[in-house]
Amino acid sequence: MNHNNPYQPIPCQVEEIIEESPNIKTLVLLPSEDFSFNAGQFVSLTVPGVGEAPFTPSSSPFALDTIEITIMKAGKVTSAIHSLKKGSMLGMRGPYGNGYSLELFKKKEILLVGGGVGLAPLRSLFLALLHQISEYKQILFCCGAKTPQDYIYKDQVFNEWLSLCENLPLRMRLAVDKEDDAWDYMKGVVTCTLDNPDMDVHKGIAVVCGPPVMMKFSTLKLLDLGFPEENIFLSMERKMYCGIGHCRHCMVGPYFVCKEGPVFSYRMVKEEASLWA
Amino acid sequence: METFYVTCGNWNEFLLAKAEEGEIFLSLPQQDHFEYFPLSENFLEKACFGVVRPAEPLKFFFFPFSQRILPSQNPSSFRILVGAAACDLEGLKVFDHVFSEGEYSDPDYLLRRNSALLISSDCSSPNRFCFCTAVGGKPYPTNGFDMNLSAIDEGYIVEIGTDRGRRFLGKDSRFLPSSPEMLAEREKKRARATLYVTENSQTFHIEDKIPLEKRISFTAKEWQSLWSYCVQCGSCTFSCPTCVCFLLEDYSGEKFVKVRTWDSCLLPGYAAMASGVSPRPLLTDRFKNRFMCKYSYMPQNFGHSGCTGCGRCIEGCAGKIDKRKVLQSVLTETLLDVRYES
Repeated sequence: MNHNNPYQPIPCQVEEIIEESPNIKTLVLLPSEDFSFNAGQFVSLTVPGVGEAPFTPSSSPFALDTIEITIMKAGKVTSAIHSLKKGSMLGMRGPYGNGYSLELFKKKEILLVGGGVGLAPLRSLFLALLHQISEYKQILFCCGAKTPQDYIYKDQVFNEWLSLCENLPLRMRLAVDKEDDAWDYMKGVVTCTLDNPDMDVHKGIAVVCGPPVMMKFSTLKLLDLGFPEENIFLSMERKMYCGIGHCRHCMVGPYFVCKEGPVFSYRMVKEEASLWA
Repeated sequence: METFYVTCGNWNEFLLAKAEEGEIFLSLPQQDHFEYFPLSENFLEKACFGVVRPAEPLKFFFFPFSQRILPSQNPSSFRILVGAAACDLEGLKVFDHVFSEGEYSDPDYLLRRNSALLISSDCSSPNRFCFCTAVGGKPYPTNGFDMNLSAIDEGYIVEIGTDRGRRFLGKDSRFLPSSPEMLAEREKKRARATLYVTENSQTFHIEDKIPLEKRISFTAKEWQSLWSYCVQCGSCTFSCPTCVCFLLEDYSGEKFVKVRTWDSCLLPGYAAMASGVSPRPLLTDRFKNRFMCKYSYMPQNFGHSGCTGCGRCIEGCAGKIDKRKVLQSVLTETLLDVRYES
């Protein structure tokens, strides 16, 4: 990383592109320099001549050769990223911010709840937890999407991870708002997966990531269930330019999402206006 | 600190000779305000330092409106800035916090900051918008300058603030030791200016209440009565000596070229994400956010007020909103007419 100019990105090559859903792709990137991150931290990706946007990697922080980033087509930069081909170059700088504090999660029961493309940062966290699964008491991974087609990481979720539940202290609950004939799991918005979590909620850790409305109602439900405010972790999303605490665009009250976040405990930010925007 | 006395004529000659060392910018009197101009012999004739702050805050020199930041640009030449006021030096401290402290420093800012000499001056005639004393300031600089000028009689008391200022002055026989009488005269003028700003500010009852310690109880409707004359022009943010918000744009081409441009948190698109969703979609949210940023968030972020009381946001407001009245409304939880007379 060039510390002389904090805006200087590392060139990265697109190694592979995985189509997750009609508007979501995962890019496998090969950085031209050593690069490591903690689960929940974010990076800034630049498409030369187009622009820059922040993303949280979705691969395991323990996998060091390549880095995977799952991106939904939403604006100018993400559209340009979606049009990249295998072998294309883009820029990456970071990692920035505070990720998930795994030390805090040790010996605890952990509930992860993700909706839609919000599953991306949770995948990175989930893979990090799996890497040292003996350190944690149990994991309940709750996922939701609009339809079965909108699920990202389909192969991993429905084959690999579900089969892990047989031998590991791991449970998965999958839901869709609108089912199809082949859907074998729960039906309803993702909060329905949070009923009867079957864990000691008063000591448990809950991690929420997804669209604002999903985060809001999931958090309210987790509080209802009895999770302590300081044990509910939210992954916040805001407009960001610099990523280094200078430009002030990402602020939630007095907090910088790029510095103190993007992972915040609910207790820290609960009184801030426009929290769920 | 070390002080000297120099006559106005000798000071002007000194400055002219210093033009060989760098680009000199002077705060010069215009019809109804002061403004920075590059040094020229003609301009010096009407120079009078130590009256009131110039129209532009110092960020104009250290944080240009739009600049390429990647790749970094060549070093700017050495600049000598004459005439910044105490409130401007305070504003620059916020920029120092943002760009030169913490985990990431900004090389462009550091370069500009390190290649500039600051010659500030007292305000002997603060204007009706000034309220520095209400936010903990004074109408004369006590630190943050390389040299400071206080106008007395037919000359200036020159105070040395740094070694760099001392070296810049060098050994120059035109600078005489200042006498106790001269320093007493400076104190008298300073006290007079302080009294003026203090009396002017006291009518708003805002002293000792900043930074804000408690949450503001106003509802959106109450806030609306405060911002209803705001036309979202961004003048208050662009003229503010502490407003640091910027956006980054990439220039088209194969290489990584990035340009930084000022942004304003009052503008609707400021915080809008790619989806179009903004955490502050309403002007109520944005107006309140700007206010909180100055008086609550920046103090929490850097331990330094985000308002220096320079009054530029009031003077330049297209809607004639007097921020002191906004503060008064909020702090006393009383809705007031926040406009001022032209």
